[in-house]
Amino acid sequence: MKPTTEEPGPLPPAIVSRLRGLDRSQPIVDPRTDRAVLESAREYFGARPVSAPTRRARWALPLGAAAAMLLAAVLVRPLVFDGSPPARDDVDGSGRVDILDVLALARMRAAGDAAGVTEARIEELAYRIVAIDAPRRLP
Amino acid sequence: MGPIDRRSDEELVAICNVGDALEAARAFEVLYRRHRDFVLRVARRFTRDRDLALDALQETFTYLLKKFPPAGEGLTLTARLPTLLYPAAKNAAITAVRKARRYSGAADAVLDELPAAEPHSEGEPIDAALAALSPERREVLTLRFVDDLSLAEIAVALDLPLGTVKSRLHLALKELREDSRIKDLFQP
Repeated sequence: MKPTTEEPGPLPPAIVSRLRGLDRSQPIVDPRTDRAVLESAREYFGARPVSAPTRRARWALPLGAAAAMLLAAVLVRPLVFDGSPPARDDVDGSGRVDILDVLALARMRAAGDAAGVTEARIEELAYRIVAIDAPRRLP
Repeated sequence: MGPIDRRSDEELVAICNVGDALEAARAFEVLYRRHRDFVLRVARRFTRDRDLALDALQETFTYLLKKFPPAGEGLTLTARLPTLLYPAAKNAAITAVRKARRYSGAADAVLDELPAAEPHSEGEPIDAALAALSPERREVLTLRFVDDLSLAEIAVALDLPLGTVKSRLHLALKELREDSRIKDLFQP
């Protein structure tokens, strides 16, 4: 008789139950084996580096804000100062105060060189740079 | 015990492939706890011995571990993980039994199939009918109705053509249906 190609029919529950019983599907609990397997896995993966997620997070926030400002800044004129810009705002020493100074502040903060560099300072400079007013001298 | 980890096996395998030391070890632990009982059940089928089954369990997960870097090239799941674990557990169990028999001086009988079903009493017709099935047919029946593997998954796990799996299962059911001791169970 040619075997059917269809999915075979169900097995009566009494037979399934007995099959499971013969299979002794009761789990064995053995903590020593569990410990041995998991310790082996920890040793095996132990050669891999452990990443530093907190460092990444510190970068992400100010850099994210700066990236958003950069996008806006390409659409508007950066503030250009008459004469030499205030040294405080020209963070990268380029002679101009622009979004690159915001990025420089963000990098300084993320690298731990945070003297005077607060989130508020970064945001304040970023907002001033992307202002769509005519260029004006900073107070 | 912490909350249930709902990440899929595919996600956990991906972390084991490329995650850092801590992430990979945690992901592997989840895989172990999720599939441990299945592997142990398979191992017991072929060893009929608790201690040998535990040895086979450890060997099976060592085999899985070495699929990942640094020793392995990484694992890509093309089917559910039990279809990969079944042959590994079966082979580990057979190896464990062979080693034990070698040490005990017992004859190295054919081991590549399910052991004969346990002795049964005359009052257990189902047991008698199941014991009468060939090991190949009983193996397919067990994978289908105890381990809930699909026919395609059974084919992968046993490294057999799908048609062979269907044929064995069909013939196993036919044999049970025609067994005078239990044929009434198939009546609607």
